[in-house]
Amino acid sequence: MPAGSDNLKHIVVLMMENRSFDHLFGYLKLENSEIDGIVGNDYANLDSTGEPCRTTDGAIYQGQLVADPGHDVDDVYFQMFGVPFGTPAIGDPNMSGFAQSYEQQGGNAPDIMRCYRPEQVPNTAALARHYAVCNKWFSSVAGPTLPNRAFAHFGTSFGRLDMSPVYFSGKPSIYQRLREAGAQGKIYYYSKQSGTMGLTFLLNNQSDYFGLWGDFESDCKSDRLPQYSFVEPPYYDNGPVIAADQHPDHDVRAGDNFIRQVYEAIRSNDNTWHSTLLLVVWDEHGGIFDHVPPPKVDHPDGFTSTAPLYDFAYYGVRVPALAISPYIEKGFVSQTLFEHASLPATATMQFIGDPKAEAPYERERNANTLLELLTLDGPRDDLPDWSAHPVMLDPTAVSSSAHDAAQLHLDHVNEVHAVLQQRDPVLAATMDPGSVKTEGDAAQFVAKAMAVIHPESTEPGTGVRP
Amino acid sequence: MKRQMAMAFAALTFAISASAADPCDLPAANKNRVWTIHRPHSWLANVEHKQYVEVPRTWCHIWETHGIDRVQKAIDFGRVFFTGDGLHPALGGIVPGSGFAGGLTYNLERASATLPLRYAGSVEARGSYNGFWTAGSKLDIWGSGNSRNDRHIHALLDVEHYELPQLPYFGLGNNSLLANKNLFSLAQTIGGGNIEVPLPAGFFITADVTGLWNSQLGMRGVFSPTIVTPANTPGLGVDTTYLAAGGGFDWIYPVAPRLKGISTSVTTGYHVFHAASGPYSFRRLDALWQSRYTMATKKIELGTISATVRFVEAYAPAGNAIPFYLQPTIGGTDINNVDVLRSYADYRFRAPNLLTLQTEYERTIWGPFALLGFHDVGRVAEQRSDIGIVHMRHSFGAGFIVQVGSLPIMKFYYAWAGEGTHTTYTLNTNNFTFSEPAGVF
Repeated sequence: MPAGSDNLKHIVVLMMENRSFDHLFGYLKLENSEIDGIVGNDYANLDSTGEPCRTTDGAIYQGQLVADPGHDVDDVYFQMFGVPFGTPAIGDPNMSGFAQSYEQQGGNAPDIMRCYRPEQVPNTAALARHYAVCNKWFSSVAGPTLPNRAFAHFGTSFGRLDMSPVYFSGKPSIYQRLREAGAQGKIYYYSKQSGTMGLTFLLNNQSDYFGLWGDFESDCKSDRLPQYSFVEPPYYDNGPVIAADQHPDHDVRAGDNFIRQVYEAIRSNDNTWHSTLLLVVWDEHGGIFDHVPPPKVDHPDGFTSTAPLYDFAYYGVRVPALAISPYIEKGFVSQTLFEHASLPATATMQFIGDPKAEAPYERERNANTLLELLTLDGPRDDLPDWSAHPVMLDPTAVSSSAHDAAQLHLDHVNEVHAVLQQRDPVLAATMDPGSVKTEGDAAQFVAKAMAVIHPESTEPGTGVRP
Repeated sequence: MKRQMAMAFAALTFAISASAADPCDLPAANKNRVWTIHRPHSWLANVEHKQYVEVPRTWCHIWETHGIDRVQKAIDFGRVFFTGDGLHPALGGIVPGSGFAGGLTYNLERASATLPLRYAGSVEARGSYNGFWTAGSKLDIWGSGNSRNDRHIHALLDVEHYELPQLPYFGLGNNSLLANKNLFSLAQTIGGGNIEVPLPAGFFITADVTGLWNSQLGMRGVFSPTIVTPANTPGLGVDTTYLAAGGGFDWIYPVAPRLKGISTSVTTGYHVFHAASGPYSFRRLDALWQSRYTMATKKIELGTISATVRFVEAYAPAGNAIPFYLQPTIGGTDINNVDVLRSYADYRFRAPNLLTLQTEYERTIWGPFALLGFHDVGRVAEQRSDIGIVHMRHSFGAGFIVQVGSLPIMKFYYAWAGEGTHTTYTLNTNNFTFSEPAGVF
């Protein structure tokens, strides 16, 4: 076992809302090249007029994503594959549909590609620099909040894709399983007005599983945290408190400050700090661009959705995630694949037993745990540098479309061409896959072919472009 | 080439298995495509488009499934139908005695891109089957600048109109008789704003300005000349216009909310009601103290005990009187839907001054259902010097509450003592509840 896990008595999870990795963490690549982010205007999606919308800075705290970017399963499918939900996609996700998906919500397409500079979110960036960034944490479901949060609480969404609360009191949540193992798990939600996301109906008769924000602060200070804590930020503007969950169009600064408050609460007692792993993760990307195609799920849990029909074959879009502990090396970047089932899996591994034997559902059984990040033998107590550090974008990194096409792209071009030969042999004869040299060439080739293969999914100019 | 075909076929086959065209989602996708073609749209149009897509889609999904999944799909439909930006039904009473009311509300939230301000607005109209109606709008504004402690300035602007055709009136004072029940009508328009500024250590400073127009159109019932005369019912048949201004200090403990243990809030306010015409100017001091103690062992919640003390004193300059319809009431439920002396009739005792003490015990029994027990004590007084803990009236009662996220949406209780029994239910599923400008009863 990693050295730090010997000292680990508490795992605290703070789950924020609806931001993608590139959007919040992307430009940290300028400071640490191991971070799989962006350095300039690296990636682009085409809008409905065929104009490329490139990743860029210029994300503002609020008032920009006025139309909530789509993040239901049909929206995310379109964002990932570039074709409408229910329409067969060719190959793996190409992350080409974000701009047009946002237009369908009435949004301004370029806004969905905008990212924060690290100095705009100084607290989050400071923690990222000082502890670990998870490069490959994917949301569990290519869908909205509640099924993703269900994976955090239960290790599965039981086949749910919609925003109906997962209220399976008979199902074994990580909190119940911890109790049965003689440990304790607790959800600390901000206030009664804010409630919990998805578990509100459980509040009234399972109060021992719940606390409020003030209880969390108090339990940290008195070193009385349970083994597993799940912290929920304020979700609504209410009274003097504004939403701090970072869901568009909530103020991102409020969330940035709340993340620091959680960290500082844990640091309010040295014993708590020296025995705690804090994980800050966003529940899903919220319809905002990320450039990393989600991989296939290696170990499906067997649940499927019947309305709409969906088999959970792919993870959802990548989300930002931080691992914070005195036993984590400064500036570490994890390349391990995590998903939200990694949360109960980590708690299971540390406090119950090996998830392969103890976890009730397949996804959790096979999820990687965060314990491998606790590599230091002794705790470090140095504080993050909270000051804002402006970064300089790389103006030469304008587009990867000029990069040589990878074998993946060339295979994709060949697949599409093969299908096109069946649908429109005349057009196919005019298109030579061998002429494709760059990623941009590949994108244009596929876009042109897709306009014939799936005309119903393609507005003028629609296509795939890395 | 065979290999390429095989790869393409495999890819297509996989993709087909990953998702399939859904009869509910396809129309939504088509609507979205058309919407994209005709862009750009105003943000208000986008709100309406989203409802146009999501309401029929979530409704359609209900009928694609069966059993518990159908229930869950219905919940998802309810989320879209009743909450969020856009047009929604508004259900629930207006004031006690209005009967069940229904209407529509239109909600919008917006944040400024250039200023550290956030907005939430509502426009709502509701009417009941027995002629009560109300319409109005409100705008909440929050400061959203950089704050390390979650607390921000909050302001509220609102305009509301109420038509209340039959409100009970039993005369003034703590000894009025149930048998002297009269009914009066009141039309009231309120427009104004208030601001709440957080201070350190859980304190807030508040300030508000309100314009108030009242039209008291008539009285019917027993109409005893000893009970209802201009001399003993100030403001009878008189329309009044006020400018009310004031402020106060509030305090909460603990600052960060806790689920168990003790929590306390104190609200104070002092307001000047300046009548535009007629001898009806007055000043009012309000104070409300509420404490809750939630008892629990490590594993079992043992319920919550709460205590509430409310104190109101009013001062009318020489030659002035406070219109009876602006005097606070206790008994049953008051016009702001506050329950005090619940075994008595609604609006039962009315006077310019009051003191109430309430204790409640509440315990969740299962899911959203909680049991309620209470003891109310209180009195009103026409003279400030009569306020005290003597000659108090009492109520006892029990009932149950349906709550969502620990916030009650329905109360049902049976109360006794005093003048008999009183069974009451309240229900309010509204997204928008009219504000209560301080000092207006």
